[in-house]
Amino acid sequence: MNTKLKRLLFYLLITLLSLLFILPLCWMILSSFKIDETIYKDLGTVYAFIPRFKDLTIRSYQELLNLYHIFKNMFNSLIYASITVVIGLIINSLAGYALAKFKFPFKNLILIFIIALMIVPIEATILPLYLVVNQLKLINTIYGLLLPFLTNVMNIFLFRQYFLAFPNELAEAAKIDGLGHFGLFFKIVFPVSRPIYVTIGIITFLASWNDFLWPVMALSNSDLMPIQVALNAIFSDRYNIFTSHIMAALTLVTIPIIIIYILFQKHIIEGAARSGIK
Amino acid sequence: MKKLVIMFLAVVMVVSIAGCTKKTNADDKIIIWTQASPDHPEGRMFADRVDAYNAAHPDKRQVEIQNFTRAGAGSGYIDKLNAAITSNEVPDIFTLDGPDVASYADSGVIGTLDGIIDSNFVNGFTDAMIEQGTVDGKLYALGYQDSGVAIMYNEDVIQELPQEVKLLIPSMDEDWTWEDFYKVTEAIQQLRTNPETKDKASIKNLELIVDFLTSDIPKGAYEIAMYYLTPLFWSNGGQVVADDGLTLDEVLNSPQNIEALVQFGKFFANDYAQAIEPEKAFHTGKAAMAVAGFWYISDLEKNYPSLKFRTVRYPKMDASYTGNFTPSGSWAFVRSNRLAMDNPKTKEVVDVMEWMTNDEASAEYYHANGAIPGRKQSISVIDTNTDNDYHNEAWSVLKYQVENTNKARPVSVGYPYLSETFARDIILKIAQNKVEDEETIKQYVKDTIDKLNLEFKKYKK
Repeated sequence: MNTKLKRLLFYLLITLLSLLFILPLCWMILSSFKIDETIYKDLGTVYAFIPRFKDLTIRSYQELLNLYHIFKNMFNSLIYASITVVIGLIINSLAGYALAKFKFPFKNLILIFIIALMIVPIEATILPLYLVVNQLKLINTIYGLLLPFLTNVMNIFLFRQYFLAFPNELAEAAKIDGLGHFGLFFKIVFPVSRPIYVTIGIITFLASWNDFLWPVMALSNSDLMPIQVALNAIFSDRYNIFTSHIMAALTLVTIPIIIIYILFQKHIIEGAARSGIK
Repeated sequence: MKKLVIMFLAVVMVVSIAGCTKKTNADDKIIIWTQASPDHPEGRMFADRVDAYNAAHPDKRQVEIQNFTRAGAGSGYIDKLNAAITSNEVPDIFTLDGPDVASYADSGVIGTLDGIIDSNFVNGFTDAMIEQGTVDGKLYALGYQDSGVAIMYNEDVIQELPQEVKLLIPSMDEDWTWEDFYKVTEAIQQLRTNPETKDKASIKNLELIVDFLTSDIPKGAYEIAMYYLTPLFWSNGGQVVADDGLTLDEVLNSPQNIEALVQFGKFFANDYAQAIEPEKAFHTGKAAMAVAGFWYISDLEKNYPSLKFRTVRYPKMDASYTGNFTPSGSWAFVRSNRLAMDNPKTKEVVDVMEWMTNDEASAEYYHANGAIPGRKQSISVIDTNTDNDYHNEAWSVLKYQVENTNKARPVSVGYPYLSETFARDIILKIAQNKVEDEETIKQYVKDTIDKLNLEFKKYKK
C-alpha cells in the first residue's frame, strides 16, 4: 500500500470518527431552530443534519427565554466555575508541588490517602459533606457551595505527577539566586507549567459547570442557582417545554464549553500528554 | 510574597465567617420544601399560594417556601430531604411522590393528619387522592394534583378500518376492554399488508401499532410500568402486592395477573408494539394508538396541530369489573413528625397544608400548570368547551376517570424497589423477549417475587 493511499485511509477514518462526535452536536443545534413536528419528521433523514432554511425558526429560543432566566443561571455558573478554577489551581498546585518536591514526615502516607480518596465517588460523600457544611451554617451561601470543591485530590495528584518531572537543578539555581519557596514556585515553576494549569483548569471548569447534585443540596435561593439546576427544572416542565426548547437550552449551555475548548485545545492536548491524563 | 499569602488566607477566613447565616428553620415560621424548581411554573404557583396565605393571615406564623429542583424521579430534592432528615432539620411541610409516602410514614419521618384535619375537608378529595395519602388506615398526605392516562388513536388510521372493527372503539363515555383494544390493533396491522390501504400516507407512515412507552424503562423511568399497567391487574380483580404492602406470593402471581400479563405480552409477541419505540411515535404518526398520559394533550395541541388525535377511556381487563382502576397519583404535601400532636404549631401546619391543597388552590394550579385537580369541586375548572374538539374529548375522558375510576398505586414500604423490579424483571422482559406464553410469564413473575421477598425481609417485623 503506497503512502498516499495510507494517508487517504487515515484521513477518511479520522473524518468518520470526527463525524461520529460532531453530528449529534449538529443535530442538537439544528433541532433548536425547528419546531417539534419537523424535528421528528426529519429524524432518520439527512435533513436532521443539513438545514432547510425555510424550516428554521427562533421560536423555541424566544419561548424558552420568556419562561426561564437561563442567562442569569449561566452567569452564576460562570462565576462559580471561575472562582473554583482560580482558587482551586492555586491550592491544588501548591499541594501537588509540596508532594513532588518537598521532604516531610508521612509524605508517602499522605500520597496513599490522596490516591485512595480518588476512588470515592461524590455520591458517597455528599451526605457527610452536607452535614459538615450545615454545621458550619454555610448552607444557602455561596461559600457553602464553593468551599468543599476548591481542593480536589485528583488535581493534586495530577499536579504532583507533572511537577515530578520539573528539574531539581533549576530549583537549586533559583534558590542560589535568592528565591524562597513561594518565589521559586510562582516565578519559575508556575510560568513553565502552563499546560498542566490549563488542562486542570478546564477539567475543573467543566466539573463545576456540570455540577447538579451539590448546588441542589447547598442552595435554595433561586437567584443563586447555577445552569445545571436550571436545566433540570426546564426538562421537568412537561406543560411548557418540549423537544425544541430542550435543544435550545442545551445549545446555549454548550456554547461556552465549545469556546473554551477551541481557545485552549493546544494546551489541553499538551497538558494531558505530559501529566499522564490520557 | 509572604504578605500575599497571608492576605489570601485572611480573605478566605473573612469570607468564611461572613458566609455564616442565621438558621432558617425557626419555630416562628412554617417552612415548606417542594420538589418544584423556583423557576418552574409549579414552583412559582406554590410561591404565589404561600404569598397569598401570608397576606391573608398576617396574625399567624408566616410561611416560608423553599423550592428545590429534582432530576428524573426526584434525585437532587430527595437527596436534600434525606440529608435534612439525617441532620434532624426536616422542614415542617414537604412534598413526596405519592407511592413514597408509605416508607416515610413507616420510618416515622412524617406525621398523620388524623385528629387534626377537618374531615369535611378530607372528603373533598377524590377517592384516589385519599387512598394515595393513606397508610395503615391513617391519612398522611394531601395531594395537590392528580394525573391520568387514557387511550389515544390516530383518526386517519382508524378511518381505514372495516366498519365492524370501528364499532369496537367506544365513544368517549363508554367503557371497553383490553380484548377489544387488541382486536383493533390486530385489524390495523392488517391494513399495513392490505393492497388497498398499505400505500395510504397514514398507513405507510406506521412503524408500530400501539405505543406503551416501554422505552422509558431502560432509560431509568421505571415508574412508568407500575403507573401505566397495574390497572390491567386491578381491572381483572388482581393486585400487585397484598394490603400489608409486603406479601407477594399468591398476589403478584395470581391467575388474574398472569392472564393480564399474557394479554399485555400478545401486543409484543405479534409485533403490534415494540419494547423500544421511536421517539414520539404517536405524535408523529408512527404509532396508530397510544397508552397516553395527560401530558400528551398539551404537547399534541401545541406541536402537532395536524394530528387528529381521538381519546377513549382506559380499557378494563374484565368487562364486568366495577371498582376503581385507572392510573392516578402525583406528588403530595406531608407534615414532619418533629412536632407533637398537641403542639399548637401542628394545627397551624395542617391549616397551611389545607390552604396549599384546597379547592381554590387546585383551580389555581390547573390554570398555572395544567395540573389535574385532585378535589371533586375543582375538577370542573378543566375546560372541555373549547373550539378544539380533540382537546375537549381528551379532557372529558380524563375528567371522568379522575372523578370516578382513578386508583392510587400500591402502598408498600418497599415501593421504590417493587416498582423498579416490576418494570425491569417483568414488563421489560415480556416486551423485549416478545413473550406471550403463560409458562414463561409465570417464571418471570416467580423470579421477581423471589427477588422482592429477599429485599422485603428487612421490612417484615
